[in-house]
Amino acid sequence: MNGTTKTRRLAIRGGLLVIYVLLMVLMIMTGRRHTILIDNKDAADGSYSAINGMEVAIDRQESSEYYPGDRDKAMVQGQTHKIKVTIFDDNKTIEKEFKVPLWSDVMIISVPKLIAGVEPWIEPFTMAEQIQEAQESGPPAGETSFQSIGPAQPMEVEQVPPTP
Amino acid sequence: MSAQKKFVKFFSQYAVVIIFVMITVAAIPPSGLSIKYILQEIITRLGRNSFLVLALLLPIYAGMGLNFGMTLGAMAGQVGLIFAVNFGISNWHGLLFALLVGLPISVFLGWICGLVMNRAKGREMVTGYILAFFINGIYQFFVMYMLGSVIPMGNRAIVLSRGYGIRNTLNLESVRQSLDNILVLRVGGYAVPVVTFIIIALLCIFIVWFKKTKLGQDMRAVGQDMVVAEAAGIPVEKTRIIAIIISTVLACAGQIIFLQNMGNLATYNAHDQTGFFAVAAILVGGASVTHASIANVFIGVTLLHSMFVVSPLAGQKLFGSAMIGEYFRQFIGYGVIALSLVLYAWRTRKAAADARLGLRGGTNGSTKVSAVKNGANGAAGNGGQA
Amino acid sequence: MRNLKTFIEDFGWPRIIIFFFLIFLFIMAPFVRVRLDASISDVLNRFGQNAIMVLAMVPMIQSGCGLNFGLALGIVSGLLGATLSLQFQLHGILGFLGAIALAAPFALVLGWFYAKLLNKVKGEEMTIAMYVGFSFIMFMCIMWLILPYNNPTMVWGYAGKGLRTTITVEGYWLKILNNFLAIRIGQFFVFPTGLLLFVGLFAFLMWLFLRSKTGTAMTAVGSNPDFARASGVDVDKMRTISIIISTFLGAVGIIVYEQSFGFIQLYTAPSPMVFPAVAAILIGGASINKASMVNVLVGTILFQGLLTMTPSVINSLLQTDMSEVIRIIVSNGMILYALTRKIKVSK
Repeated sequence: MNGTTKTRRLAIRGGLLVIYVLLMVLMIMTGRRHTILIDNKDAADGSYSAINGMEVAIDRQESSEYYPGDRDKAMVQGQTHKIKVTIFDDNKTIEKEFKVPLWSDVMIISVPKLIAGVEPWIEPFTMAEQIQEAQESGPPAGETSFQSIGPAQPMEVEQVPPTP
Repeated sequence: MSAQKKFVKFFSQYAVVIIFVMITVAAIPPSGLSIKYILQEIITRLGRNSFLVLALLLPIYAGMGLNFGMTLGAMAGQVGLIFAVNFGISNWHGLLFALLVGLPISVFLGWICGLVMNRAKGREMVTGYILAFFINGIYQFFVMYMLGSVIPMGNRAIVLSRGYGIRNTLNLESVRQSLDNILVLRVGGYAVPVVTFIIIALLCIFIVWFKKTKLGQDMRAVGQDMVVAEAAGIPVEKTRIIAIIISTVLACAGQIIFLQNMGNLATYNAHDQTGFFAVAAILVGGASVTHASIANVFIGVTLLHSMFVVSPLAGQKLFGSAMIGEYFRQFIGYGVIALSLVLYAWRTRKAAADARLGLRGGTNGSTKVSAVKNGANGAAGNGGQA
Repeated sequence: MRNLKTFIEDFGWPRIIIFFFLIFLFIMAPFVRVRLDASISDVLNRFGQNAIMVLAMVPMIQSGCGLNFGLALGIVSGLLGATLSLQFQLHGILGFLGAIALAAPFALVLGWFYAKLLNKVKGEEMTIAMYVGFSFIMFMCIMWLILPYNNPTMVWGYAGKGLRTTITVEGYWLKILNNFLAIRIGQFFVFPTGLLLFVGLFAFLMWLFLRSKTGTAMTAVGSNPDFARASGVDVDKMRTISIIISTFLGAVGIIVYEQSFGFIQLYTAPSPMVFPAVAAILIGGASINKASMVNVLVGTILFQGLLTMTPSVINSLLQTDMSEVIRIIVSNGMILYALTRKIKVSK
């Protein structure tokens, strides 16, 4: 008798803990915010070209117009989203669903690729990679990297007791 | 009871409220603010602060005085928000996530706070105050040195350029007013954050319900007299710890609500004033160290914050310096706390002294006994005369 | 062995840890190229600066009023005295003594009112004292802005009124005690003879006072008020005396601090000065109902030593400035420890 209540209590507590953790995970999955860059540019090798004029809407957000060479961004929350493209030339509307990987903050959608059917039309966009590339192509490290070594300056913190 | 005596009793009980209403009303015309502006400000500030102030109620019921240790909960809430921003969780999801992170921390800190206060019975208030400073040191250590070094932070934007430690000010843009904005009701030009008020109302219902439970009744009994409660078989220390834990957890949630409305987080000192403002508010609302009700909370927040709204501008107009208004409101805030504590201590002593006199069969025995009763009710015998 | 155990229990673990930590800091100092002589000189100097404010805790603890969280009243009296002495253009030793003399009436009057109040609220002194102190500081913030001071070194230049937040005492009585008979050894070491003599004088007077008839009566009130009352001691009067003395010492303390520090700090500056004084006497081994001169001496040296040594040594060791956090945790942890300690009834 006593043993069963004990195990039952343990099970309930364990269950609650699992639910608690699941809730946290759920909040991360549904709550994480991502930046979507919407790009309308020619391909470097000319395999596809920019759309002459279009209207793009992500989910139910307000749509905006794009002309060749434009790039804009939209903020989305969660992982599964819809993109709706209306091309001015033939008034054709294309709707597609896409998924954003959980841990990537910025994604770039190339609409010309999407229209031309080139995969992948959505790719993660990391500024860090670009920065790294830029650094690698820069001057050798030996000459420039002295400044940033050493302790950073501590910041100001209000003295205790922090009474007004 | 004669009319004069009734008046004296009424005045001494509500002295703080009356003084406050007079100061605030007097300051409105020179401030030059429109009534509409002030009302909108009060609505916003009620939504922002009420939850935090409600967190003070349970420890008062349990006889532990004003819980200056609520700052601990506020710090837990801030740690939650830091993680929510770090993971880039936006909207109310971020707030719930912050709460989920802050909850275990605040339970733990509340437990510590309860243990410490049980070792300092009769000095709970000053102990809670110092404990808040002490934990503040640990909070600073954690946020300034642990985050980003021992605990990796994915979002480099919130980390100091030296590579570890969180920046002084955190932009809560991703969760800003996400609770308030779920549903905004516009009535006659006023914007009312409905969901925030629903949550506050739910908390009020919870408190009313809690008072009726066995635990709530025990808490009252402990608050009345610990020795009697102990004799009646109530686990006094445990009950007190539970009261503080609930208060700390509520303060954690309250701080999250407060900060989502403010929209940014001063990482290292947002919690400094939390306890002070909450305590001042509930006292201004007519509560004392042993007696408080939900009504006190809302009256207090309304009064305190209407004065906070008008005083800087009134100071500017009357003395030509906004600083005077700023100092004045802090002076009033601290003064109100001091005054209420003094009035309370005075009454208790008076009641005790009268009780002694009454037992000895003093010259005026019957009135003394009635004074004792008044004193026990938290009202003054005749303390207001002096 | 048992002796050692009771000694440790009496003295308390936190104090022993702090003591050894400080020793460790001094040993480490030469290894991280922190000059030991300069450090010791610094510790002595800061000891002198703060000792009288710590001393101010003693009478109130002895008379059973607890830790004087309302020391701000005394500090503000001292600030009034100091600013008035500058206003009247008092220079040199005359200025310093004048500041004390001018502060005295404020300290006495404020102390008297403060005592009246605290006698009405026995048992709740500490919390109330804290908030009375805070609200008085805020009240004085308004006063500093509107009082008619007009010495140009003190008021804001552009407005011509309202006191500055920090006022230099250079040219008035800067380091008047520090330089009195100061002994200079080498480039870095200065022994502030005058300062320490002044502190010693006050400590000696306090020591004498505690052994006088009034002093013993005061201690009796603190250790057992009912017994004291029964043996014909006026409890309230004794408490009043102790509170007035404490307030006056707070005033003297801040003036001594200013002459060494070089600046008068106004507005909200007094509020962070109270807690270190409280923490220092507790680190020295005082409890909330018992304190002695030894507690003041040991506590101030340990606490100020810690404050002086941690920034220099710890920073060199860890390459970060942790001193602020250490200060917060140590000082408040110490007060917390004292508040939660079970009070020993009989000794």
